[in-house]
Amino acid sequence: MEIYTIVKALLMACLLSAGFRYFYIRVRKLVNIMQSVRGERKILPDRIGERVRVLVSDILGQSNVRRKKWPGIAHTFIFFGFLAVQPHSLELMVQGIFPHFSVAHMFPGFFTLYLTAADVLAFFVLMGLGYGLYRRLVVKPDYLTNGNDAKFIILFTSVIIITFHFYNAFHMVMPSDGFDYGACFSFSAILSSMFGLSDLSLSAKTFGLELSYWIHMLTIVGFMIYIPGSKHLHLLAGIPNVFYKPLDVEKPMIKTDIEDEDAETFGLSKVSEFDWKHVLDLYSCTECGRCEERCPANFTGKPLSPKEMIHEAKVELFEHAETLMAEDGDLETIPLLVGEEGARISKEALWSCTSCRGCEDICPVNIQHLDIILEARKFQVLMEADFPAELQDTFTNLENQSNPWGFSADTRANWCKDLDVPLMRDNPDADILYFVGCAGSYDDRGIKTSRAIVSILKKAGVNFAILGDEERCNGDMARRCGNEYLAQMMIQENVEVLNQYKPKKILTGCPHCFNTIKNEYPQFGADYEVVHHTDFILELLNQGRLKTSGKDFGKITFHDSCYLGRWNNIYDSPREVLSKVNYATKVVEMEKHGDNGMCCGAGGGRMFMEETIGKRINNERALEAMDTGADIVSAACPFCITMLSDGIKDSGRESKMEVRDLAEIVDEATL
Amino acid sequence: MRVYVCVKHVPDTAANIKVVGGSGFDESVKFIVNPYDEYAIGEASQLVKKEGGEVVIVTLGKASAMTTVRAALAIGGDRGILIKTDKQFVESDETALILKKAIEDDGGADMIFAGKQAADSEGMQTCYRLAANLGMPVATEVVGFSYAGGKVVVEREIGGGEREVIEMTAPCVVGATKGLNEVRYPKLPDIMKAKKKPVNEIDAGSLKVDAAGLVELVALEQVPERSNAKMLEGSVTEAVDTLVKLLRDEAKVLE
Repeated sequence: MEIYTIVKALLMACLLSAGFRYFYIRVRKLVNIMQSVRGERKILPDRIGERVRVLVSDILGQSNVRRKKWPGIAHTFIFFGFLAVQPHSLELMVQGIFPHFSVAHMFPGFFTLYLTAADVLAFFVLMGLGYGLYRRLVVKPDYLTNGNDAKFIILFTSVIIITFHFYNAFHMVMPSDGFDYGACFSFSAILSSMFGLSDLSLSAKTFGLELSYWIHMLTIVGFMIYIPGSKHLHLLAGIPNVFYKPLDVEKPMIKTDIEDEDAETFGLSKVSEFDWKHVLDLYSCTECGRCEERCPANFTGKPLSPKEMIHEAKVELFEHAETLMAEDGDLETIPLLVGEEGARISKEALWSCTSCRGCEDICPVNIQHLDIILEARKFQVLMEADFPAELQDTFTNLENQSNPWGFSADTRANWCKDLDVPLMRDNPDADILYFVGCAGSYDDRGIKTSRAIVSILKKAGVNFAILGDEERCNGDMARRCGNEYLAQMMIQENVEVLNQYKPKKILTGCPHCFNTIKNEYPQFGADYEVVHHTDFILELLNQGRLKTSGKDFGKITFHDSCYLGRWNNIYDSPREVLSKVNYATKVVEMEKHGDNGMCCGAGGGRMFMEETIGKRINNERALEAMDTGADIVSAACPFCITMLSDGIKDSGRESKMEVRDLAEIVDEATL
Repeated sequence: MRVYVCVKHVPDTAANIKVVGGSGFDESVKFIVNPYDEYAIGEASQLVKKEGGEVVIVTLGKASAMTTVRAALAIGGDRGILIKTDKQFVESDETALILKKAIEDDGGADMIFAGKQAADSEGMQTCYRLAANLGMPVATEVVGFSYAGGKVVVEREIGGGEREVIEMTAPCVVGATKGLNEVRYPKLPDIMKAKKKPVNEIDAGSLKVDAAGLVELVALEQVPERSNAKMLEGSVTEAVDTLVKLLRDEAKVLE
């Protein structure tokens, strides 16, 4: 026995030192890759206190994971159980080398409590893994990557937990060493009695205990080495990635310094141009597929999967890791990430994105997919002039007439010729600068909404004015299509005009104008209070400045615009407005609503691109709206309104459902 | 080879033109590279890429036309010549003489490209007059171009969907139209480089050309806004009566 103890100590010392050393080498390499990519981003984050709170709620609270209920509960079980057995395993490691080391004897009270909890929690892991296996072998959802990697991980974890229980089961029937292990165990005790372990001979018990020990140890060390090369790397990378997540829902696009004369390239073209946070994003992905399940492009048969994109980028990064890390590595040998055949991400995939942000919103480890997609588009446009052909006219129209359709810029205010709407140049002290937007100014459907907004403002006695021909396109469409140069030209012009008037508050009738002016104009030196018409109308209603007529519109369902909801967290006010003006009937919800809302298909400049692959996103969304049986589908975005109206027409289904902007409903419902 | 592209600074076709003071217009609208000239620039760039040499953008226009010279240089071109005048509409006779003088002063052309017409004045004269002044062959409405060893073969549209193929000897003048090539959207580095390319500014007066003054711009008129269609009610006889009345009294096309 003495000899075995010595041999065991020696073997364990070798196993642990080799295991940890190898683990360290693998992790070190991952860190090296993070440091070797050429993109720059500062490392020290702001608002650390808030970030720690996020760790508590998102990681310890597992709140993000449980947004998908059953897989989330299973993950929570596995997370806590796996965490719970680790101190015990650590103790066993030390014990392997120093047999007399025993936390049980040092802190018996604490250890009893700990082991009691760990024994229960470990069993919960098995329940969680059971659910995981059921999903992978029976349910098999399309969006879930179901490779051997996942199965290995389940196997590793199961073996660790089962040997934990067996070790305990044998431990409690061994001759007492002064600590009552039996008192700690519930599930292990059941196991012990199930197999009648107490009836075994001492040598059989010892053999069982040692066998459990070795399998447990070898599996743990094996798993530890396996993790950095597998998708289970999320265990290490997920936590810092959540720590670094954008704390605010509102996220401006990166401002590219287009005047930088030393810049060799603009946007993102290959993995070497990533910054360390992009790489951390890639490491964090565990291929759960929630992004893919949410993606409207994927859902309608387009070749975009946010999950696959992240995975492909990760594979490419590892493929060229040596080149990146070598001091004289030739970066020219690293291929373009997006391109023709052979490239990891196809152009069709890149241009299919509607920037609806469903992927970022649902990602349990806060991967920022759009940081890659939108920057990659910049490269395509600025450096390659390569984009869907139909965008060329749109870009030219924006450049020449500052609206995507190419209507003459000086007719921008023609929509309100007969409405006696004051211009800022005549009423510079107006309380509200109403930024109408291109759709609101030129599109027949959008004009109806603008006129309704004006009517509401007049009813409420608001002192407002518009910019008229001084207004330019806000820049959203060009920016999200990668044309940062054109976007900045228009933004600069608007910023100059805004700074000349210094408006007290800017009201927008379009979520795209709202998002850009509110969240991105500060980058260009125009930081004003900006309000979207849903919030503003709610404010007017709450202040009693609008009198409702009590008109019954029947059943209304509300379609969440991505740039109102997922980009700006405005979900409640439109519903509140609708329930205030149409109080006889409750707002009915589509299955996908709120932060789970589905894009109309127009975002990210898709409004101005052909949709030739797969089903049309707007048709699918229109069907979902019709399924509610509502009389009206309301939205608060001119592009959503157009997409939904077209979708209803094209759906082929007989429907009397009307598509109306929230402002139109309010205008009709107020006196 | 040295290839010249004549580019005009014109108001955007989408802009609302407001006539001011009889023969002028409100020039605060957006000005662009004359759309047909973009095809000319594209073709010249391709030719120089193949044969070597340089593309020179030549523009006759107001000082503000510098933006158009730069925009043209972003599409393609190595340097520019801006011949400054104070008129938007220079008659084609004079334009052709000025372009000829500027090109000859600059060293002479191995090839000249231009758009088949300007989108503002729609004269379609300059290509022919320039070629005549220089004693070169000319073809306009060109949708296909090839060059080999001093021989130029062009395909030109002659209406009715028909095309003719003409062989000319270089140097010659080619008037480009839509279909000659795909106009490439400029890349950001090209736009930035274009800002730094040399542009020689000269005064049209200093070229001392002697134009015959064949054309005079007398007045510009606003295109009337298209009015709404009017539905004529009643029986056929009534409708015809009303129509005749309208044609006589409102449209004033009947006596």
